[in-house]
Amino acid sequence: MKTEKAIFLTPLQLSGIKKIPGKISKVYLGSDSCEHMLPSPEDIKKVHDMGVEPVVSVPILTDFHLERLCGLVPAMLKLYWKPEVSANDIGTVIRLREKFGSDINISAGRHLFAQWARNSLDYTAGLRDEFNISMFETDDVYTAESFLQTNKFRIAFHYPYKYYSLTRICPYKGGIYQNCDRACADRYIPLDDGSIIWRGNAYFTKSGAIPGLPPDRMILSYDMISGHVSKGDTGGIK
Amino acid sequence: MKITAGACTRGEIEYLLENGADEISCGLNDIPSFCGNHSIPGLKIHQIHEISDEVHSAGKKLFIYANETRPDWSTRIPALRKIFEEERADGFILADAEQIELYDKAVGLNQHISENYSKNVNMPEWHMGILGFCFNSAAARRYRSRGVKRIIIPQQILPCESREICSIMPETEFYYLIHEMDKNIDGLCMGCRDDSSEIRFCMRGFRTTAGYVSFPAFSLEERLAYFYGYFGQDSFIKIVRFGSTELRRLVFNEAKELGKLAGKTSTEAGFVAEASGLVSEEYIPRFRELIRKNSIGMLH
Repeated sequence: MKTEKAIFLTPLQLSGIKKIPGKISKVYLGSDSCEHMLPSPEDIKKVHDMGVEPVVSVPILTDFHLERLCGLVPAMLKLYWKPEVSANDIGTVIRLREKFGSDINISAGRHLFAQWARNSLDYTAGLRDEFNISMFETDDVYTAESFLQTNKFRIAFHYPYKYYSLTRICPYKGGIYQNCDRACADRYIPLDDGSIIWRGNAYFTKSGAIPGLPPDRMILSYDMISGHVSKGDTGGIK
Repeated sequence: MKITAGACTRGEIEYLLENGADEISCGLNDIPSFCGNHSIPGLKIHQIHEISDEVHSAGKKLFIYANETRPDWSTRIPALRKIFEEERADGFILADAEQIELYDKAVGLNQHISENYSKNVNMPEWHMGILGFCFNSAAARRYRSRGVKRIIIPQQILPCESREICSIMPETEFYYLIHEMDKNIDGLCMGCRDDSSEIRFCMRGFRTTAGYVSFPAFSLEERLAYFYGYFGQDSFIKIVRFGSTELRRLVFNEAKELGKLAGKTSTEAGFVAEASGLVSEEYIPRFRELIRKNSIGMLH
């Protein structure tokens, strides 16, 4: 089976891109760590017009941001059949299924799958069937391999960054806001010896490890094609 | 205002009961609870009778943490069944709906609870901890339908963002945010899971070419506004088990004092102004001193 290739872009990164490399068939658009990176209908159309299918990625959502996501889905439905949303909490999955039924595909983002994967395989399979989850994302090699071995789960693997920690408190402005001017400008900032990357409101480690079994989908970070890592300045982090 | 306070030893339980805690939550070694890599002592299962008698004779409630979902967690079911059958605890703090389903199979508890909540019968309760990721009302509805009575609101949801969750759940509980801590969105921070150093990942400074940076935290004013907001929603106040006995007592007393002040203050701005002075002068210096003196571990 061939591994499908996807790339992860925030709306800010998308704005600087005119063409998606040929081997990429999907663009994860948004962010699985920041609610303020929800793409606009125009962002989604731009990706679609480049001939690549967008997957809207959202982090764990409060009610306010969940309703913003629900407001975006109709724009996706107008553009293409069975749009995919990568959700990161059970409430988002439930709400999307309640509102859009089987019109959309839902994948379990890496935070949600990390939560589910702590439980038994049967339980995760039960949730997959209950909510018709089409793909399970992880950045953990062990989790990817153990689920791939079962041949019962479609696995997408994030590469090369592995989630480390996450906050909703803005590092640039302090506090939690319902509206955001994206002061972070989506910088990648290496910390200490570079083994930890600070990006917006999340920390990642650069694992570089890939599963021994081929995942169904590889989700590559933007800097894999752009060399976008900042060389050091904190860019205004307090 | 009701305080549910975490305790790690018999002595702490005694102290908390004498000083006005409304509920005690504790971990038992036989029922592993989530603690990342920061090991905090749990009580022993054979102590449950004494603890239960002590708490209940004071007219208070006792809750047991059962929120670790590592693969071997089902081994805790015999201990849980024993506590349930002997009516030793008022409820259990969980991390996932799967636990309810499996505990239900083991002890028939979930159905029992669902049938009796509405009849005001005093039954053991399920509380969903922050590892249940209850960030929105859709998640709250699901947990409620599974028999969960109380949601512990994840630390980084503001009071104004949680109103729908609070309207769905019979009870909610909010974190008493501790100075310069609770910086992660949930309990799955890999810093707490991987980092064996004594200093918490979220309390470290990180080197960049432009100097040191650290994990962002609520300012004192934001933290106090958060407290006042949840106080107004009549939620339970959660004091976590972390650090040392001295730290836990200090934070408990701070929360208690702020609760009294919030009850006497009619506006958020008024509360924040008055409480800022109190906390800055009375509590933060002592807290920082204890942080330096103790290695820090925190349970959720």
